[in-house]
Amino acid sequence: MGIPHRVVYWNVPDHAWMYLPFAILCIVFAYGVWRRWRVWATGRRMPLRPWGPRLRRLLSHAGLQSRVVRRPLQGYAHLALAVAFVLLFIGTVVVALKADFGLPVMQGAFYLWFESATLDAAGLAGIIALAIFLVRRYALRPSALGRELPDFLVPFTLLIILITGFLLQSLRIYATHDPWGAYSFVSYGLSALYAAWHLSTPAALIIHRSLWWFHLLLAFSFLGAIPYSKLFHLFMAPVAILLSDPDGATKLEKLDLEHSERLGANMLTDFTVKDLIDLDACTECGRCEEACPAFASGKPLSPKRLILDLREHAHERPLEPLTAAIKDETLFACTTCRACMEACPVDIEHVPKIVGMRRFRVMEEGEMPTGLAEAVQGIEERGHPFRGAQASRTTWMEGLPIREWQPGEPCETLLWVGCAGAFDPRAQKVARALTQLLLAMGEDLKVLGRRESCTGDPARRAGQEYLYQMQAEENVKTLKDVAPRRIVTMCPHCLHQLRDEYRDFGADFEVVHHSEYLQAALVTGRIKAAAGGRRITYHDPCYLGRYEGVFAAPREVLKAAGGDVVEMAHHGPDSFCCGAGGGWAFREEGVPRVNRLRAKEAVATGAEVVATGCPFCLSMMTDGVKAEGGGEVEDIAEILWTQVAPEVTARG
Amino acid sequence: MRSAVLARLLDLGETPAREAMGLMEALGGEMRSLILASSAQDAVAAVGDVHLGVHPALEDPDPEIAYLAAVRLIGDVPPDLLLLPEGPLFEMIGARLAGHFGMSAVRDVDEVTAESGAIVLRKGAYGGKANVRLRASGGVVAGLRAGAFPAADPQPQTASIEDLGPLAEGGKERRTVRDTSGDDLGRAKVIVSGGRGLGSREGYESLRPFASLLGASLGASRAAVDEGWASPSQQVGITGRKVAPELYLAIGISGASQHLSGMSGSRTVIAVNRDEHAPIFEAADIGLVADWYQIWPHLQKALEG
Amino acid sequence: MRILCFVKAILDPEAPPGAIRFPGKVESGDVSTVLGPFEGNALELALQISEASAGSFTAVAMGDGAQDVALRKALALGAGRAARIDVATGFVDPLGAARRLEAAAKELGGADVYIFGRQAGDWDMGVTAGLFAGLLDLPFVPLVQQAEVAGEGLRLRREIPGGYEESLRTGPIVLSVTNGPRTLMRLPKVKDVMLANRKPIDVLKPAEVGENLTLAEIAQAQVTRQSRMITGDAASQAAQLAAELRRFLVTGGGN
Repeated sequence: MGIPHRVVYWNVPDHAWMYLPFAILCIVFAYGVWRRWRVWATGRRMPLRPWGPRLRRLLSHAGLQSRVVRRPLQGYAHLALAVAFVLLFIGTVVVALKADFGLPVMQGAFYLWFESATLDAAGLAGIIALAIFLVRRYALRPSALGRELPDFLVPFTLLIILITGFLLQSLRIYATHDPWGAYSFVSYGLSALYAAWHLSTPAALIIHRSLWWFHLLLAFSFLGAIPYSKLFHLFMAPVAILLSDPDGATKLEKLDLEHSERLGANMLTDFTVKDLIDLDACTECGRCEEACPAFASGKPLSPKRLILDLREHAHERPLEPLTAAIKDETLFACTTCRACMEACPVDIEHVPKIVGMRRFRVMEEGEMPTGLAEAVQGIEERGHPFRGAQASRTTWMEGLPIREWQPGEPCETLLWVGCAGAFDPRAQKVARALTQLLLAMGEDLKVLGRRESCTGDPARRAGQEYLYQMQAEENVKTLKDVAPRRIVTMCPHCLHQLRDEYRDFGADFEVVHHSEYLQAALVTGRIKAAAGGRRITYHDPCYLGRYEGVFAAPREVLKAAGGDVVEMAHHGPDSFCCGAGGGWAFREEGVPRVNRLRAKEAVATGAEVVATGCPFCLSMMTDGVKAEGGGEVEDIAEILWTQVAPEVTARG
Repeated sequence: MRSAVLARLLDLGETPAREAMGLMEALGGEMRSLILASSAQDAVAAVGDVHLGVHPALEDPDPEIAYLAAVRLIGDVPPDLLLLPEGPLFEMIGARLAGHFGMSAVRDVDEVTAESGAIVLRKGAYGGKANVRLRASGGVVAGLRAGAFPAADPQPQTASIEDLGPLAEGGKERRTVRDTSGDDLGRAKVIVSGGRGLGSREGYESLRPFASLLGASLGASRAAVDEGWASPSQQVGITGRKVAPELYLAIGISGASQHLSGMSGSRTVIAVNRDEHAPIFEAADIGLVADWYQIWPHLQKALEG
Repeated sequence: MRILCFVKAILDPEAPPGAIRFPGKVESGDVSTVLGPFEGNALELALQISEASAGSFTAVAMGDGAQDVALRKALALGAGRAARIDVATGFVDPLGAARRLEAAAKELGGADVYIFGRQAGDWDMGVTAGLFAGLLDLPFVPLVQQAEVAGEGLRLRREIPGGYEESLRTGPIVLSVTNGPRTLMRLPKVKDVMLANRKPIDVLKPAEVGENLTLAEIAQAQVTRQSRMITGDAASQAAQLAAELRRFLVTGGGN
């Protein structure tokens, strides 16, 4: 029997003809890539260093597909298919090395265990994975998955390629009585069937030879289709992951207002290279759509549709303005909650694109939805977005032993109250509870009062970058004058600005959310809470959780306050927006409202109290939970203060 | 002091015109009633010397016609104090007449006193947050707030009739449209007003059956007018229309200060709003923190049943 | 068409109660100064007419430097020129104001259309446009909601009780503008805002004029009432409200 091997191109004497379709494939493929390349090349370059975090993310998100497998069934099926195709690709390269370069690689143990057994296993795994995909898409029919012709052709063609591969191998084993056939265990099993059917050898040879050409041409067609279809994600998803912002694109790009030819994005050239590559990286898996609160509440936005519409625009009308592809209602439906970006397995960055396009609509065309326009005008005219507010910046602190910082005096801890804490009657109570907690800790506490002004976050998210930058510069200047040891804030939006986005304006302060500060104080024993015992569910604010990565601290505070913390269906990084983000806090929303959807989840936990750490979430959840017949909605500071106040009184 | 009331014949039966005459009587001095009419009439119920200026176009006048007619009727010697009821006539010609005669103008006046020989007029300012008193040292045209002065009970008397003759042309291709919202809010006994909180045009429209159940006129906040849900003539507020109904219902109106001021003459105010902190509740006699859409189906059943 | 649009910046009309106090004078505290809302409507109309007639407009304000907020906004919206009549802030007799505006209008070369907001939200006088028309002896159309350029003239829609009047007016004219869907001030474009901040504002010396009215007194007004809340679920709230309404319709002398 000699060294285990097989004859390459067995039974296909005219196989050399395959280089003709191969050449065509190469041309078609190259043209397809060039067509896309042309689009990417028009994008703005963006900084890539440091590479370290990018490569780590590439390994995790592309190599290990850590986001894909968050949905175990289809996730592991996808991982298996991907691994199978990498293996099969290696197997094909080995064949080429042998056939075209005469290298002796198709023999021995390697031939038996890799080229035969492993590849058979890979092929089988691929077939199972594709079967799962097809059943899911066409039998379970999740709405986030498309059912157009290409959606069927892609998995079906792959399936046929794998099946015909097995048929070819099994026919060869059958016809040649391959002594090592059993290592190709799937094909070997099939060949046993032919024996049972008494398939004649000449027939087997004819079938094999025709099937060989069919398999080859089908595989070439499939490969050629890659740059023209969502299959391109095979190549572009890793690139999109590699180019994605290491901080998760939580920080919006600081726009150069003086020198930008156009403010915001209205042409493809206004997008970055990464933005354009994202369009070709999308696999249309629909996870963004499933996570999107705007989509769930029936608004005209699906993050998937947005990317696909932009893709179509990029390929078919690359020189036309983006207004032709994306409607204003779609752009302004986004709450900027980042759930889509958190869900995306290939790190597509939806929110920066949306805000980029908003910037153009707002700053170049003066378009903004009513409600939002008034809120932004409020920031411009009176330094806060709350229309018709009945309070001043200092109303909330009447009767509390704290005062405004005065120029020239040092500042240990600065409480950044935020506009909600100052002007929203409900949030004022949170500001009071937090102040009492901080005073009970013996903090040397100051507030800015009349010197505080909106961080500009609602304006920036709405696309009014100009107003935002004025607010940011003004606030950074004020804070540099105050030079506080640390800043504590009760608003996650302010936190995100002061801690992260203001860095682009020269800010470098220690900024903490009150949940983090209170948790630290509980750990060190600076405050003590009496035993509670209420069942509490915690709503993660998007800007505290997904934007700032603070998930544990608020839960620890609730536990320290004696709470029995139960989780909603969506929590942590998968939390579902309250509906206030992206300027929606100031707009009249249609029905159904996002906050009702979220409140339903909260009420379903059976919790007596819904806790949160954001004044906007507090307001939205209060309305929603009330309408859904749930219990109280409180900020973590209020819940903790309820348990701390008796201790303070007891100590005198 | 020489004072005069300027009014349209059509409006003489209305309280505001009689209130202007009441004020003129109270101030005393030389009194004239200047009446704009589309046809001659011998006896007119008015106060002081009654002059009737007649021109056929005064039935529903163009602002230009009304102005030219008034200038001719007032004559060469204007009074020291010219009184007009606050409303469309004042809007069209009050201030312009003042400019023409070198007088000043004040509108929305709710108190007039004579202090050491000078006339002092009181009115609201700063969106109703303040009241100001203005001392006149020269001629003034004053628009009088409805309901602020005791009405006179003028008796019919012979009027001197002046045919105002040919007047210059007003606007061309002129047409007036009075739609279903043509209720005059100024005279309404019950007003139902809607605001931004209703969320949409359909939401605002849902007030129509409610208003008709109550026999009420339909008003609107500035926000509802800006959105185009209601016509500008339905706007209540110091910058829109001042109203003084027996009952005022504010639905989905948060209560900007100018709106509160515009409705402050109402005897009873009922407010429905989702936001318990809305300022409207500060200015209401009865308040409901509620979603109008939840309330309305029940209310409709209760009121129809 | 040559257009002059008169604008005014006022203390924020949305300032919370008590933020502006009136202890015999106006104490503005830290309330900001903003473009008056009806002046926004006036600017919008001025812009529409100037666009439709391929012209430009000049914005004019009267007061101290605080008025620049209004003029900058006008420039950002497309005013070709901005001028401020330099007088101290405070109450001004509307006749005196109209006379100064008349002098300024002459100095600026006059116009075909003079546009005012319906009423400035500080002293709430609402008479300056009419006074100005009377002084110049020009036709005056109040409460304009909509204007279209029609040949040499303007087709104007103005508010009348319960509806509107439409007419075509030619020749120089004075308009006061009210709010409505067609006069909602557009958002200025940011590039224009940035440019506007660098444009000059002409300062005009005020004309010497006599005044007929002086401010004798200013005091806080009272608009609040003691409110009784109807509580309960929607059905019970509705039932209680229905009872109140029925009681009112029977005894309150309704229709």
